[in-house]
Amino acid sequence: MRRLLYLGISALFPCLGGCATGAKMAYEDVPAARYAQRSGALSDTEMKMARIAWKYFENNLNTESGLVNAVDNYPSTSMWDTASYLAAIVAATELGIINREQSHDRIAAVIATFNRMPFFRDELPNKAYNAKTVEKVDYTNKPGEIGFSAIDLGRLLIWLKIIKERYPEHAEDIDRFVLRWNFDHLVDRTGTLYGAHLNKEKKVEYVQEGRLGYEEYAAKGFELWGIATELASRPEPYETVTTYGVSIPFDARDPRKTSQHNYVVSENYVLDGIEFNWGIACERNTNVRHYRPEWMANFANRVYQAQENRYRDSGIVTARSEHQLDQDPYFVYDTVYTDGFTWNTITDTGKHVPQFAAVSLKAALGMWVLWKSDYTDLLFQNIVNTYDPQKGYYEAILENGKGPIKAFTANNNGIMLEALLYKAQGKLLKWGKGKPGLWEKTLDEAYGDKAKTRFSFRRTNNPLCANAQ
Amino acid sequence: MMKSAKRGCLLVALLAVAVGLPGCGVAVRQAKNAVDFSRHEGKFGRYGRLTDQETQWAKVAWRYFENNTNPESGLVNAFDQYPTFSMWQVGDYLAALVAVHDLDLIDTLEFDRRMSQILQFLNTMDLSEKSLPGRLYNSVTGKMVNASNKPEDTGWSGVEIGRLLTWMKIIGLRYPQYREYLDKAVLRWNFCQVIDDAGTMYRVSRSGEKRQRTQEGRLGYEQLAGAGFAAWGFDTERLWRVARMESVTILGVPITYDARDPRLTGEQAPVSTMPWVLLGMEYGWRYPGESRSGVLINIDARQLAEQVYQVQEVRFERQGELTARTDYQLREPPLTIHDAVFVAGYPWNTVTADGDSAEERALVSTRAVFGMWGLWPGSYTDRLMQAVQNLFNPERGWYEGRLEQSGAAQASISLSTNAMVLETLLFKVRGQLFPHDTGIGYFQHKLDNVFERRVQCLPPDRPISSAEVARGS
Repeated sequence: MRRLLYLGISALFPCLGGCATGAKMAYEDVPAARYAQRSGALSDTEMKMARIAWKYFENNLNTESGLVNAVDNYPSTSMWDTASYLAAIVAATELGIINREQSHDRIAAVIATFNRMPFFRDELPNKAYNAKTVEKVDYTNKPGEIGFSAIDLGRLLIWLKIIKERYPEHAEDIDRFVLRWNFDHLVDRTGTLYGAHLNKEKKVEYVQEGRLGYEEYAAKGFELWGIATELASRPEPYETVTTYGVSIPFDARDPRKTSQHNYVVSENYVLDGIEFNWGIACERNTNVRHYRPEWMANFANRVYQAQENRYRDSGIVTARSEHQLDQDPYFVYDTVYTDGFTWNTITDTGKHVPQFAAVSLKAALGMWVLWKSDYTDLLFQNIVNTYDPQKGYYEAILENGKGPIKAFTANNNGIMLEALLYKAQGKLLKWGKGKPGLWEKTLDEAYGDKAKTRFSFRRTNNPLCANAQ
Repeated sequence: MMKSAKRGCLLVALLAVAVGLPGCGVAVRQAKNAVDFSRHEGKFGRYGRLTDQETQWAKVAWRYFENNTNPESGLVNAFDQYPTFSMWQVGDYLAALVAVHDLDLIDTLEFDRRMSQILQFLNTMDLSEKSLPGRLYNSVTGKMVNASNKPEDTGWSGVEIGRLLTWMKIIGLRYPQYREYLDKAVLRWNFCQVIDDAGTMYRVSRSGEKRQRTQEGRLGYEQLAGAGFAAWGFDTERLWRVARMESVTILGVPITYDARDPRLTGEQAPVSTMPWVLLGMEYGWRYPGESRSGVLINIDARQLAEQVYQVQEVRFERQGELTARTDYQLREPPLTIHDAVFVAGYPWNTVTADGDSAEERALVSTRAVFGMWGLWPGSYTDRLMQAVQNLFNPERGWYEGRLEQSGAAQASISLSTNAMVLETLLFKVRGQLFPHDTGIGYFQHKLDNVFERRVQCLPPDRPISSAEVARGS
């Protein structure tokens, strides 16, 4: 049924990935659409903030592997978190916190590990690794393989591309890593993304992965590498729900039936904003207001507006994201909407845990840089001092007044650094003079005895995605 | 069919209760068998509908084609993920395509889509020397390439074209809706150099300015390829009449081999399973053209095939070595392996195209096992099947075989092997694959039009053979 509905919509609006889909929801603007973004050199306070956030990555580097722990002092990481680490390195470099040599060494160490690490079933990076030994591990950091995540890999592809464009000296080794990937089960010719997990019988299952916002964000990573993601890039199927006078789009695929939560949070919209200006993946124009698919910016504005309105109406400072906890269950989806309820806070099994609702620091700082307003000034003041000078920024501040969540993560500190870099430089994907490299040449090569066909996915024909000649 | 069988079963069951007849299962099975047998063209070899396990085998084999078809052009890689293919492999692909359609693994829409794509290719592809399909093409671009997959016209192969002709004809006859377009593709070709008036086939090898035209085909493959030309009206009967043969006795079984000496001609003359299997499944070991000379054809292809089968079974009985040998291709050098019953002077010999020993590459070949299993039902081929039936990657297809020396899998994955799995299973259901000719089509109309003759050396342009002249016909 759901699939039929989906196809029906695409037949009505037969446009390629990323174009506005019109009639489904009128894109009337919310006030946030008229807010400016913050840009300019960082103030002393902001620079201090960046240095504190970087502290996390000084503490948590594993010299054996070049990887950093996803959570303070716990040697496990994922590809998403490693992408956030790469983002942190770029930000620290560009903001002058580390020099080019340190930056180069850190990136090179990560890429070298990428090129030797074992893959899930020899296909793709596993969902989790021991950050010290680079063994594939399960979520308890015990050796074993558990699957791969298309969303994590999509974010990783974005940052690998950003690094290739900014620091082309790493391009070849990065290409070698991505050329190790087997895309057969990751993306199909309709441009749908798939993740892998093991079922109860320990058999591998490949299932569509990604929900509204995250799905389209991750798809941009694939687009950057020339892989078409037509269905993943469309916002459909979605529905809307109204909260504090703002209609919020959410993914219409039913979480009760698909075991994936359809959470609406700030994080993916923040990342899409600071890395892409909410534009299409291969957009080369850096002007914020340059044409972009209407829906992505519009959805982001709505998700922001709902949170600002909630503060205005209820007095509760709000900046929602998925975040870590310093106690069991250690991780929550702290949302604007998910699984049928607005302002829902749940564990990964769907258990309602409102006591962990919090102001997420990465969400707050992301909102601060993308929407210049009195409200985000307040958010900034709220979070600016929520750090441990030895360890970095705390994960979040509980809504119930019980103070900060005393967990430190690569993702939180990495995204905070990203947000600060956005203020200084604008859109983080900066196109260099990159010529077609090993990846493009290998993929395009029809001739020669090293040629290898990859018929399982479709190549993009977007001329903007093609590298500058 | 099923319905009436069931109703019959009920009756039989009632009777069985009354008079103590054997159970209804037996009766139904017998009825089914009779139906299956009547459906089986030629009445030889294994027959019957597919078991669940066999359907699974077919699905695994088709997986190869799903993975390796270029969706834009419909061209299929000859090796897993490697973008080249030859005309032999186009023939194999057509066989696989007919099989999966007939076995209901793909619907008619998908079949037609794939047929349309391959017809387009056959009618538009660049021709070597502007006259014949080239040796090797690239499945990404559709252009001719050389052995190292670089654009180049390296000539053509009569034997490979012969196999393609077989399957173009089979499809034209089984699916008349495509016959015209297959005929048109063949009418693009110029046959003057590839086959002479006596039915001898040639290959041309080109390299830079150098061009060499040599006779091609040895006993087995020569008759198989010749049959492909004969199916289109070329007279290749002589290949079946005056083949140059010698005989050697291996483990008490007389084995016939091609007398042309590889030391003098540079071309190996192996005795191996595949040509005889294909000749059996496709042509029932019979020459498909008319015997114009009236002289009895003196190669008993069925007899030769039996010998090749027998000696391998005997080897297993006497020496305990499971044997199913044939030539096979590798993606990397040495490319061609003649893994033979007899080659280059020795029984159970394995050599490369250059004649270098490659004993360590001897295989229980998946392709040969399927072929023998299909044509010679019995405990030996059941035993062979047991040895290879798990030699596949469910997501990529069947492996080439199992190494005789170590038992390790030869885990390379090729189009030809996966096509053979499908062709065998189609044979099991349908019997002989080459149908009876049904009427004339575009090709014949074109040949009959004397006002529009081009110099292509098509069958009507050929002189009447001397034998016919002598008989005054």
